[in-house]
Amino acid sequence: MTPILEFDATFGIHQFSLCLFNKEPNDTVLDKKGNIIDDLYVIIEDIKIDNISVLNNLSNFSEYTNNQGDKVETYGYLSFPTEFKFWLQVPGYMFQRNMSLLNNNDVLGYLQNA
Amino acid sequence: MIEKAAIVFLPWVAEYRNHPPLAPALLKSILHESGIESRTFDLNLKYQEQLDDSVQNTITSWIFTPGIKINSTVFKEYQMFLQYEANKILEFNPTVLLISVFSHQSQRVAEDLCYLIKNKNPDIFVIAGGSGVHIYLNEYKQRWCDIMLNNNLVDTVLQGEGEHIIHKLFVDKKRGMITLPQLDNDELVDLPVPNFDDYVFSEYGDIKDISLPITASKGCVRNCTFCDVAAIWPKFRYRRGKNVADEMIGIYKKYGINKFRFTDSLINGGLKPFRDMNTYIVENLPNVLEYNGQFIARDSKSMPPSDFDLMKQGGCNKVWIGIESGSEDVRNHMKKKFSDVDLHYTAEQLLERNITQYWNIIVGYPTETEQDWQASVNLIERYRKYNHLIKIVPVGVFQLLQNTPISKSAALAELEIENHNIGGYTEYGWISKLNPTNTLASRVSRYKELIEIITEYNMFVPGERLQAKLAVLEQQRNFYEEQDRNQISVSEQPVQEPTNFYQMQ
Repeated sequence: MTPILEFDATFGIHQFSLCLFNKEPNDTVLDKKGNIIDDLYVIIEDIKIDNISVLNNLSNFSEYTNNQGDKVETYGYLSFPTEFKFWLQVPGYMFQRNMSLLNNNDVLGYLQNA
Repeated sequence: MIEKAAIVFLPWVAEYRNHPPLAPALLKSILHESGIESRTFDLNLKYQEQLDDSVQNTITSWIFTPGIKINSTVFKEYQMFLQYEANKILEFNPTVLLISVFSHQSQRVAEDLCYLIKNKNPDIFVIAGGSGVHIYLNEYKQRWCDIMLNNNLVDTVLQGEGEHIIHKLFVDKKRGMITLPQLDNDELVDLPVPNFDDYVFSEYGDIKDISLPITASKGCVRNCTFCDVAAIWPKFRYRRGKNVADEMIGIYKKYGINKFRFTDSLINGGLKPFRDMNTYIVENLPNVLEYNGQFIARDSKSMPPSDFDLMKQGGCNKVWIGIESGSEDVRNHMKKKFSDVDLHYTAEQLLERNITQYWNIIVGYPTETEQDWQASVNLIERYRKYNHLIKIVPVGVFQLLQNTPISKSAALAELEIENHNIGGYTEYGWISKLNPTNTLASRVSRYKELIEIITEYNMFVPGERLQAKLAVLEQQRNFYEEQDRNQISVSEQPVQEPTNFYQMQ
């Protein structure tokens, strides 16, 4: 069953972090060609704020790196044992509105620095 | 707990620099009568003063058309400006915040200000009012007031005229939507004289140039197709002429300011109170007061030359006239109800008495053809020699606003306007199949031509930021053209039928 995490949040911008702990190298199984055939991972099925789904734009308001520390985009699939961070603004209307008014590349900077 | 109210007037409202707003002063006076301490904050003035032109033009474009993207640098400057103003409001330690949302053009700033205030102090009780609260936003499938209430950005929304009950909200802190009836004539008379004590008049310019706002009537005797006043104030109500004149004389004695500007849709909407007011001024304080206001062109029978004499003697020195178009056909469709003969009669009567005229011109009404447009250009040319007394106000390109007669389903069907979006703000990109060359691009082009003409003829209003208006309009045009916006079928939108601001729940 998919765990659901719910938070009551005050007005403002809130940072959330998810981390895949205890993933070992042998949790990732490769075939002879180097393709991943089995893995340990987390899939974020949805992120809702005030009951509005915002997952489609996840890459605009999140930060994630691979094992080498390079930034990678994710749409909810977390397979690196690194910290996945995302930011949400409460109330949800302001989050939606600001996501819409800013260019995609500017959203993260706004959330991190506002 | 001792209640303290911060009363905030929000951008964006097209106020001329030397025109302080009325709503905060009136609310302050009403609260004062109930023993509630308050302070007024004019953020519309600060917005125009403190943001540089380029930032302001971009933010204003976004305020007008929220689909427009803005970059993070501009957004940050705007946020810093608002944070600074929010901090100043918070320094006053208000328990209640009253925000005046004049139109959809005040909604974005209202959202941000409420967010910043609630973020710092969620206990402040926020009340929003004004004719911009009820507008339906198609993007969110909700009215703006519902969005604000559902997101706890405001606690209470007053729809209608809340002057008589607002003090009660400081006691019961009733939350949610409160719909109120229109005030009647007697209740209008009973309203206290606005209190401008918090206004720093020097911020609005030289004191000798400042006109203080005054209201003699609410509503309108016309029901022009493009205007939503009849939906907001279905009944025309007016104060007695003596009552209005007494207020002007009282304010002059208190503040030493002798200039007034009427907030009325039309100062000559009701001729009897208009005549009474002028007569009372002439009899009690002649040759001291000056006033200006919006004015309708009438025929010589209903407004003979003696009326023009009287208004001149009463102190009228400037009128805004909604000429809108030089084409009688277009004006007839608009239901302006004045002919070319009436127009020229009015213009000449005013010219003879050296009363300045500001003519509003709307570009690109749905029935406006190239020939009609030329009639507007010809009209301006005809009067260019009077450019010391006649100025042109280029209002903008035509917008199909919500709750106006022309945005109702039958009118749209008659004009064969099939695709546009009257929900919210994106009402610029419509096309009437009956007049298909009247596109947004042609409207913008005509608007530019108008600005060029009035610049060449020296008929622009001093201080009006024409280039800023053009810059904002260009950003809007780019948005609609590049994004192919506004192509929502009318049939997919909420039906715009005859509606009444006071009955909508």
